[in-house]
Parts: sequence; C-alpha cells; structure tokens
Amino acid sequence: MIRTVDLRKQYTTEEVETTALNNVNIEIKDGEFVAIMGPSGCGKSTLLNVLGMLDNPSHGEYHFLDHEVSRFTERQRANLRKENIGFVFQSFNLIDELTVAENIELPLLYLGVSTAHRRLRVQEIMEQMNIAPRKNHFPQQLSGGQQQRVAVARAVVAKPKLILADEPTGNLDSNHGDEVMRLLTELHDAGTTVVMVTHAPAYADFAQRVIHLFDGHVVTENFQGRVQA
Amino acid sequence: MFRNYLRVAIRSLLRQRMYVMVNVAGLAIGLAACLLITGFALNELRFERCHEKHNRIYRIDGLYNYGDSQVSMANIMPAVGPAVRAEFSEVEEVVRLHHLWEVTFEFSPEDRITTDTVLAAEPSVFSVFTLPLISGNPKTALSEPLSMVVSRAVVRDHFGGVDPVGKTVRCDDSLLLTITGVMADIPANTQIRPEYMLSHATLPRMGFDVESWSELFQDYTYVLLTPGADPSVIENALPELIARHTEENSGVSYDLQMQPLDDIYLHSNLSYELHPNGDPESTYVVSAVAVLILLLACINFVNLTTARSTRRMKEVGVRKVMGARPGQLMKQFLTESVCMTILSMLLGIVLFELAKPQLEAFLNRRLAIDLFGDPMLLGAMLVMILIVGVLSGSYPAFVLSRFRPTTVLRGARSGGMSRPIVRRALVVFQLAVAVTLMCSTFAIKRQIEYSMYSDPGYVSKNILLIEFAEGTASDRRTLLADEIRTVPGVLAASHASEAPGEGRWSLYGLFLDEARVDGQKLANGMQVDCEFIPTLGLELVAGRNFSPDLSTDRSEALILNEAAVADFGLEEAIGSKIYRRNGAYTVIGVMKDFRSHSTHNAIAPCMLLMHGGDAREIVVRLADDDIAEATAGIADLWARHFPDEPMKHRFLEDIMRHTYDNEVKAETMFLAFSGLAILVACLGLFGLAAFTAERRIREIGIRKTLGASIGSIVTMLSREFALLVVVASVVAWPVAYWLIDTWLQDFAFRMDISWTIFVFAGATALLVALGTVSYQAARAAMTNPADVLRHE
Repeated sequence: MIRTVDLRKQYTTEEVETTALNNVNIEIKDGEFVAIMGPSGCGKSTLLNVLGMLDNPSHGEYHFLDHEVSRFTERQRANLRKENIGFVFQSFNLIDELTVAENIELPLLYLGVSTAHRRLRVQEIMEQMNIAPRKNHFPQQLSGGQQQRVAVARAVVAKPKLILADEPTGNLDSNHGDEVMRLLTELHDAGTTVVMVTHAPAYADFAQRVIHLFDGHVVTENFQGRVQA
Repeated sequence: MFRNYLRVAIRSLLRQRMYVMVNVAGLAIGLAACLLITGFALNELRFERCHEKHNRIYRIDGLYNYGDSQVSMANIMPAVGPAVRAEFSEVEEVVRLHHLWEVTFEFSPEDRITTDTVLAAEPSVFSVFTLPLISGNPKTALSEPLSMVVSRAVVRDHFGGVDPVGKTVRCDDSLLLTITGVMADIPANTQIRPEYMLSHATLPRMGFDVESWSELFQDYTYVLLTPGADPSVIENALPELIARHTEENSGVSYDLQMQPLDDIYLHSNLSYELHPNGDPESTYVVSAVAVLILLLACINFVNLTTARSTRRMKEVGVRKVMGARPGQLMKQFLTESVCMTILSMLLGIVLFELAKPQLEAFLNRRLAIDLFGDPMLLGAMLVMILIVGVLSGSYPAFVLSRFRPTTVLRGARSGGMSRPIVRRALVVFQLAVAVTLMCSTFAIKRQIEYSMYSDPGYVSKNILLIEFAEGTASDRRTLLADEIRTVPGVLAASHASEAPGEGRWSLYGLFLDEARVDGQKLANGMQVDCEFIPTLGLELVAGRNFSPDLSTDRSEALILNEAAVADFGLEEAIGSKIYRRNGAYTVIGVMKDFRSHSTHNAIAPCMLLMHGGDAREIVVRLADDDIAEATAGIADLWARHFPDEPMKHRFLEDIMRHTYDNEVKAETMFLAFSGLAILVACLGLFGLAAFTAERRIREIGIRKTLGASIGSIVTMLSREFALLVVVASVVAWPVAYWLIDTWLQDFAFRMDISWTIFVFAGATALLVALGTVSYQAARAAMTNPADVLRHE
C-alpha cells in the first residue's frame, strides 16, 4: 500500500535548513499495523504528515496505492486523502462548533455523500463506537476518552483503507488509552491498515511492526510477531 | 453543505459574543450612516419625480442683461405664460404660480395667522403637477376668483379636522376666500408645497397685474410639453416673442430660457427660487463620506476577523484534513461574514429609524425616505449586505483558507496568519480618515468664527433692526426713529431701505455717461438717512456724509465705496457725476470698503443714496450694558405708535450668523462624521487591543513574575497603538491641509490655516485611542500570573 524511496523532507527558513526526514525507505503492506517510534524531534510526525499527504516531500518518491504522489498538487492530494485515509490526532482536533454527530459526518460531507446515506452511516458508526447517546453533545461536554472515540469514529466513517494515528493516547489516562488501542486493534482486525506514532512501548506492542526513527533516519524495524486475527 | 455553513456560522457567532458585538456595532453604524445618506441622496436626486409628467415639464426663466452684467431670475413677466400657451402647438398646458409673502388669514376672530406658504395658481396646476385633492374637484377648484385650496395640516390646525370645503376665510383683512378643496399630503421632495393655494384669478383683486409684460419678477411659469416635443423649438422662439411684446430698453435686454423641472433643485442657481435649492456638491461630498465610514467599518471587520484567525486555525486544519478545498472553506467563512452583515443591517435599520428624525430636524425639512416602501432603497440595502458581507469577508476568508494543516494541527501557536503589517496599515488608514475629518471640522469651525467675529468694516455688535410694515407713513417712521434715539441705552438710530448684513442689497444700474447708452455699471445700493454712516461706524476716506441741511443731498448725492470707485475707474471720485435712468447724482463721499455680503463674496461696488422717507428698516445701535432693557424700552415705544402691530425686530449678529447657516450645518455634519469615524475606529481598536492582550497574556504573566509593574505593562501594550496614531496623523495632515485649502477657495475672506488645527486633531485622536486601548491593557496587566502560567 505504502512505499517510500529515499524520502527526504527539509524545512528552510532565512537562517537555517532543517532536515526532518533523511532518505527514509519504508514499505507498509495492506492490512498491516505499524508503529513508528523515536525520541522527540526525530521526524515521526513529519513522516506521518507525508504519508497522510498533508505535506509533500522535498526529495524522493512516495507511492500510495498505485500512485506516485510526491509531486501531486494539493487538490490531488486532498482528493486521494479523503477517499482513502482517516486521521486520529493526539489532541483529538474535534470542531467545537459541531456536535458529535456533525463532527463524525464531516468527511462524508466533503465526499459529497447524500444526506440520507450520511445519516445512516453516522448512526451506524456511533453505535459501533458506543457514543450514540452523546450524538447531540458538543466536544466541550465530553471527557477525553469520549472525544477520542468521536475522533476515531470520524476517522473511520468513510471506511478508509488507511488510518494514521499520531499519538492517539498521548492526552489520555491509561484506561482510556487502552480503550483507544482496543478500537484501533479492532479496526486492524477488520482489515484496515493502521500506522500509529507513539512514545509508549506498551502501546507499540499492539502493532505487528515497529519502525524506529532517529534524526530523520530509519534505524531499526522490529517485527513484533503479532498475528492479525 | 450550505446548511452546515449556516449552522457553523451561527454557533461560531454565538461563541464569540464580545467580538461579534464590537464587529456588529461598528458595521451597523457604518450601514446606518450609509442608509441615511443614500436616502438623503435619493431624496435630493429624485426631487420633483413625484409629479407624473415631470420629464415633460419645463420652467421658463428670465435673464436680464444690463450692459456687461446679467441677472437670472426664476420668476418672469406674467404675460409670458398665456402667450406661450396660445402660440406653440408643442405646449400641452401652461401653469403660472405666484408666491405671496406675509399673507394674513383669519379663520375666526381668535384664529389669525400670517404666513409665507401661499401660492396663487392657475387651475391647470392640477393637470401639470401631480397634486391630488382629497376633497373638492381639481377641474374647478381654482377656476374662480377668491377660491382657495388648503393642505391637510391647515384643516387639522384650523378646522378641527372637519372638511372645510364651502367655508370662507378672510385674507389680508379685505378679501373673503372660499375653500374649494383640500390637498392630499405632498411629498417632501418637490418645490410645489404650499399650505394655501389661491386661484390665480384672485391676484388682480390683490393689486397684481396678471397680463403685464413689464412686471419682470412676478410669476413662476411652467410649461407642460406634448409627448415627444422638443423644448428648443419654444426656447428658440422666445426672443422673438419678447421682442414683439416689449419695448426696446436702452442698455437692458431680456432673454427667456427653458429649464427642465428635474434640473431645477440641484442645478438652478437663479434668484428668487421658489424653494431653497439643493447643493449637488454637498450631496456628493456627504455621500463620499458615508461610503468612507462604511469602509472604515468594513476594515474593522477585516482586521478583527483576521486577528482572531488563531481561533479558527484548528478547525480549518481539521476541515482540510477531512478533504475541504480552499473554495469550500472560503464559502464557509463568507457565509459567516454575510450572516454578521445581516445582523449588522438589522441593527443598522434600528439606528437609521432613530437617526432619521434628527437628520430631518438638522436639515429643517422632511425627507421623502421610506426604507421598506422604496424599491431603490430596499435594493440598496440588499446590495450593501452582499457587497459588505462579501468584500469584508473576502480577505479573512482567503487568509483562513490558506492555513496549512500541518502547522495548525501540531497545536502551534500563532498571532493569526494575517501579516501584522496589513493589519497595521488598515488601522492607520482608519485613524488617518478620522484625523482628516477632525481637522476639517476644526477648520470649518475656525472659518465660521472668523466669518462671524472678524471685523466686517462696520459695527455689527448690539445692532437692533426693526422692520416697518408696508404702508407705514413716512412721517410716522421719522417720528419713531427720533423717539428711539431718546430711549436709555440707545447710542444711535438710522433709517435704511434694507438691513445691512443680510446681503439683500438692491441692484442699481449706473452710467458714467449722461447719454446713458453704453458702459453700464452695476452697484449694490441702499437708501439711507444721514445717521446711517455714524450709526454703523462706517469710515469715510474722502468727502463727506449726507447732510440734513442740504436739500440737494436728498435727490442728487450719493456715496460710493472704494471698490465702486476702482470699478468705475474714477480718478477723482468726489464731484464725479453718476447717472441712473431717472436722475443724475454727484459723488459726495467715499466709504472705506466693508463686507456687504458674506465672507464668500469679494467686496462689490456699493453705493448709498438718501431715502425718500419710505425706508423699511430702523437700524439702532445699543450700548453694551443692559441691551434687554433698551430693547424693552424700544418695544414700549413701538407699542404706543403701532398698538395693533407686533414689533418685528432682530439683531444684526443673528442675521450674520444665519448667513453662515450652511457652514454651521457643514460643521455639525463633519462633527457627526468625525465622531462616527472615531467611534468606528475605536471599536476596532478596542477589539484589536483585546486580541493583542489575549495573545500576550503569557508574556504579561512572565513579566509580572519577574517584577514588571502594571504601569509598565500598560505602557508596553499601549505603545504599539500610540505609534499607529502618530503615523496616521502624519499621513492625514497633508491630505487635510489640501482639503481645507480647497474648501477655503470658496471664500473671498478666509482665515489663515493654523498648525494648531492639525496638532489638536492628532492629539484628540491620540487621547481617544489611548483611552480605548488602555482599558484592555489595564485588564490584561491586572491578570494574576499564576492563572496564566499554570496552564503552561
């Protein structure tokens, strides 16, 4: 599903040039659960942004599904992204002015799905995530765990092929963190490819493979031996 | 999707109440000002459009040529109307109107009024103009002599609201008029708005000759052309018509011209207009200022929205991640902007309705503005909502839609993605406009003070003017003037044909040659007595005053001013001969030039003649102390001489003040505009200061922890805004100077443009801005550092 070839990402300001990713070569197959780990500033989030087509690499190739997307325009990236990728963030990033149901239906809105189908799908996913009773609440009225469940629901409502999760448990206590990991695992078991950035080795254990980054390089890749259900 | 935009827009507005209030208030003020001025401008530009046939109606105006000079008059000889009606097939109808002054009506022994709102009109007035009657037959209401139609206000005030048709009213103590109709309310934007309309056929009974070719300034004559007729056909034939009916008058010729009814109000500058004319320049200036204030309000919107864009960064980032395109995001934010504009328009309508009566009181007339009944005004409102909403919202929408999701989703802090330089430039522009308007206001005020209080070349303070009724015998006038001189507090008293300072001098045609053929000169003239010059403190630079001991002074002497001497080219003025049509005069004295008219006018040639005993005014100079007692003493004297007539008196200072009514109105208007501009700018500053303080709250917490005082923090936060005011002032001053200088070109006598005007305006703006900003700065400075830093 994902293949990068000598991927490089540099940020240039007036005074300094920073290399966030340096010749990263990785391959992620359909249906894998991969964790990316490394110290702060090693380029984990940058890699996730590139994989999620939120940013273009400076050099190298990025193959997603059958497309080489490194030189795609923003419009092309947006189209490919919304059809295939769901995002889960550390700080949830729910829109405060929208209710739970409205937050979840947002990707379907931008995909142009009809109102009837949207409602149906959103109800289905809310029940799946056990947040249907809160559908008319606003994010400020939910706990951290509930907000992250809504974020996960939003990420999967359009049935994406790939879920990118950037420290999804970073702002949660252990109980809620476990809960989120359970959700991601279930999604993976159902066939969704999951790539997750995490600091916590305990949560990295949920993945089949861990990629370690350091100073923008891939230093090791460990197979966890976790077998997909 | 649109419902989603609307939902988010409404919820977003509800969550940011202070910001919405500041923005809506500013926009509402701008929209209300714009609506008012649009209504006013439409009222001005659509004058006379209430008459159905307005585009076929022309007024015949008179041009009288004296030698090199020409005088244009709105009213002409009464015989022209019937002649035009008879001779031109292009004419469908003609109507003559005659304006009557100081007509007394007696409804009952206890109910007598004297009024100027009286027209005498031919019966065709109802077919030429759209003046519906709610009672009476328009075909016959004015066809007989001694008939009259009245307005609804007259019915209400004098007939208790009961239909007065058939009732009689005494007019000028001699004529008995029968009321034959009641007029429906006439719109405010037409010159034809009498309260009383007599039949034209009544005029001979009042002593007017309605068939005269020589009574030059009598009737307003309107012509209704047949559809498709060319007015130039008539206009080109008028000289021949005049030539046939008038005798050749040496040195004087008459021209008549056709003026479209639609052009009269804004473009006619003739003497004796039926109604004070509008000023197209003022209309355009005021319209431009209103648009400017709206622009300032829009700038507020842009600034506040872009400054607060931090709060929307996360949402924009998430939406982009979810697949929103920049165009979709722009539509979303434009929806919010239009929603805010609609809210502002609703508040603006309330402000409009509250302000409209004040505007009418200020202009001293009703305005034909109906916000919801006028399709053009309604359309203007909708267009304003769209333009303001879209224009104001475009830049913030563009800025917001360009946020990069990778930056914002990291939780990165930012001061808003709009560049500070753009925001500062917009604030500087706002403040510069406000400073420019303030400079203009101060300049107008100074020029008015100069006009009113600078030395006009004669004594203008404590001068009381008393007007005799027409027909008062000359010996009674002389007797009264003599007795007035004995009243305690009276320094001097004199007779004059006009009131000095009103600018209503009579125009005299003079010749330097006994043949009285060529080279006619014009001079403003007044008929006075021997006391006139000393009463007003006029200075003689050559020759002498009139003498009561010389009978020849009464019939053969005149006194010129220096400007007349220069204009006539008299090398040796004293003893020179000056000729009028009916007499020859010798110049006995030369006055030092004085301001006979307003400061707009250069000093014109003036002359004084001795009056023949029928001078209309008594000019009384009073001592400084206890003017009220002296005036009361004169009033007692008057009452003894004329027990049935109230004393009509006024002070010269008041007359001179009224001469500058337009300038005083302009000052009030500009004061209002300056106030609005400052208010709108301050609303913007208030919001921006709140945003700045909020953005720097962490920095303030740290500084306080390290020992900074509240004063130093307030200074730190205020400094940025103070600098903007200084820059704005420097930008505004040359623009203001140029505007003031251009405006002063219209004055022959003008003040020096003092630097204090500009400094005072800048200082006022600085004080107001600092006052606005310091509230937010002080609030932020008093924050507890622990509250702020705890969350770090």
